[in-house]
Amino acid sequence: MVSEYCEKIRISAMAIRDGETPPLSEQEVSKHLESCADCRLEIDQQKQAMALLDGRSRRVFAQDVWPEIAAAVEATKARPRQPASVLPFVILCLFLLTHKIIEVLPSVTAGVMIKLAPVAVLVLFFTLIKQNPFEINQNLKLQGDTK
Amino acid sequence: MDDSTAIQKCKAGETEAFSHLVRKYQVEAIGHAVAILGSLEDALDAVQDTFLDAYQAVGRFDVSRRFYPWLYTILRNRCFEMLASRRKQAAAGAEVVEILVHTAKDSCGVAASVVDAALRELAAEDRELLTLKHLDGLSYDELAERLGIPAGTVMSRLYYARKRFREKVLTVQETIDFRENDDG
Repeated sequence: MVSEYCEKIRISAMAIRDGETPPLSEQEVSKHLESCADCRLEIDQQKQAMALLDGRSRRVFAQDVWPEIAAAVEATKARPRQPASVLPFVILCLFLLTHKIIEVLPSVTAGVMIKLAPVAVLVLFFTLIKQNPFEINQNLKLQGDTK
Repeated sequence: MDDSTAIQKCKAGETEAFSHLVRKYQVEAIGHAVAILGSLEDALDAVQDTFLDAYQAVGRFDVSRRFYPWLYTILRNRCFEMLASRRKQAAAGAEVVEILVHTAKDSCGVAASVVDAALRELAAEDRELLTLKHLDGLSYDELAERLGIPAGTVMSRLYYARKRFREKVLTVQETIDFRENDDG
């Protein structure tokens, strides 16, 4: 079982080899390596693994995908956009309003089931329209937000 | 035409400007998709879908950013979605596609075919990380940007990926040696 410190040393040693800033100082890493044969061996093996990949090149695939993309773009342009239907939301609003009116009527004693009805209906509603009401719209921007 | 000019033209609805971006980055994108998916056919599908998604989202693209890292984020999401659905379908195609340029034996005495086979044996996440680091020479910060993870995580993930890669190289080499001895 390798100690957590040895793992940190090894990760740091490889980061130094990659020319990056490691979590432990170069001095601390060198000092540990002088006394830890296991870490020295592991780092040697890592360097061997790196040597197998360094200097290799990615194979080049010269396929041209533009014709397919151009056709798909044209097809998208030709397709008319479906306006978002507001009808389900209107029905939901009417239901919630009616429910509230019934709930405040003095002649009606609101039981637990009546009180929970809007929650159940809302869950059912968003399940049916396949939308997540808690989803954050990443496309919306605050005023003055340039990012 | 530079990228930002092409993007501005795309935003103005000039489809032809987008062809400039596709033709500039398609080779790189296909290479990256192949490294993740291990299949050229799937990679081409992923790249086409990615460019189409990018075209539809280009209106929201911030021209002060570099185009390819943004495109790469879309591409890798596509690729990992494909991998997930492929796992669900269980039977993946048996197509084997080389990730590396194959040359004669290198200074380490290990053939590119062995290195390639070891890469293919790795998990897609490890293969992606190792190829971006060693074949494209990205820094930890660039890797962090591409993969959407902190640079510290890149450091440790790279360490474990190299460890697993070395183990795979040994396994592949042993299998080849065993077969050669068996045939001989």
